[in-house]
Amino acid sequence: MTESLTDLIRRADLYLDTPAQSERYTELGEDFYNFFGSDQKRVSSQVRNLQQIVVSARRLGDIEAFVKNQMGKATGSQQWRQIGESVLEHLKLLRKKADELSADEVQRLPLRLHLAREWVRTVVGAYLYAKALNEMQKEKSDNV
Amino acid sequence: MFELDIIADTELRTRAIEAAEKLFRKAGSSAIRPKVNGLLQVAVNEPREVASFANKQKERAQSKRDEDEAEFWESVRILCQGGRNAEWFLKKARDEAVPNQLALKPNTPGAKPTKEQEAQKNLKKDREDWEKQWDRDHYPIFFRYFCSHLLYRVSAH
Repeated sequence: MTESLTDLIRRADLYLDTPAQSERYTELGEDFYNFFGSDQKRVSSQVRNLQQIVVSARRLGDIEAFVKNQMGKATGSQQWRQIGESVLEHLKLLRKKADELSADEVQRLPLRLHLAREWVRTVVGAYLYAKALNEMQKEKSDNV
Repeated sequence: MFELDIIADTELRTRAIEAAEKLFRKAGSSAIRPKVNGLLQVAVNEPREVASFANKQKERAQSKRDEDEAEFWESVRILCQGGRNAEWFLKKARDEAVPNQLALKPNTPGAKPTKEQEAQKNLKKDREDWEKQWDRDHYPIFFRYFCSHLLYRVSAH
């Protein structure tokens, strides 16, 4: 008997919540902060763009294409080239996880998107935390 | 649209990446970025013109004696129309996706017009419309994935 999409999403959430995955996503979020920093104390436009595309994409392939485009730009893509491979590797693992969870492409498509959206939430959360920590430390050292 | 999304995120994506993997070394022989961006624009705005665009680019590359680039554009044309025993190309994928109700029967030469022939004429028109829509739906997705993977590989190379 095939599982319902709701059950599969629950299983996908359990996978995303495992300590090993959380740790990987947190590390990636910190890397985002290390590479992109912030735009005058605001969230980096690159991070916002990634989040926006993940939230609005209809297919995981569109998210991969966005990352590849950023990496493939002639100018201004230095940071993306440094972090992009890692992002693509994360996306590859999310695709693989969706394939493991279901053999049915009708279920895999929304599963991949669900995994990607939850993934980006954790990554951006970690980015924001790293950004806040950095700003607090800076304020502290400015006050000394 | 859901069906298209599934095909896009599976077969079209895989085929586009495979093709870009085979071709990125040839594409990197000269300032390819603006041309690849041009290719994507044609695929999005005038999908039925991609093959002729690739052909023109091939002729230009040949006139500059850039064999690698000429080979690249010929391969892009083949991705659209087939040739050289290509295993997969967009026209083939489209032909395989034709719904049964749009399958055309061969014409009988010299036969007088009949109701059946009239129906066949209408069917041909429906088939052409369906093919145009298929191209509008699939070419932009295929070439978006192809171009992004190609530029990514060119920049890494």
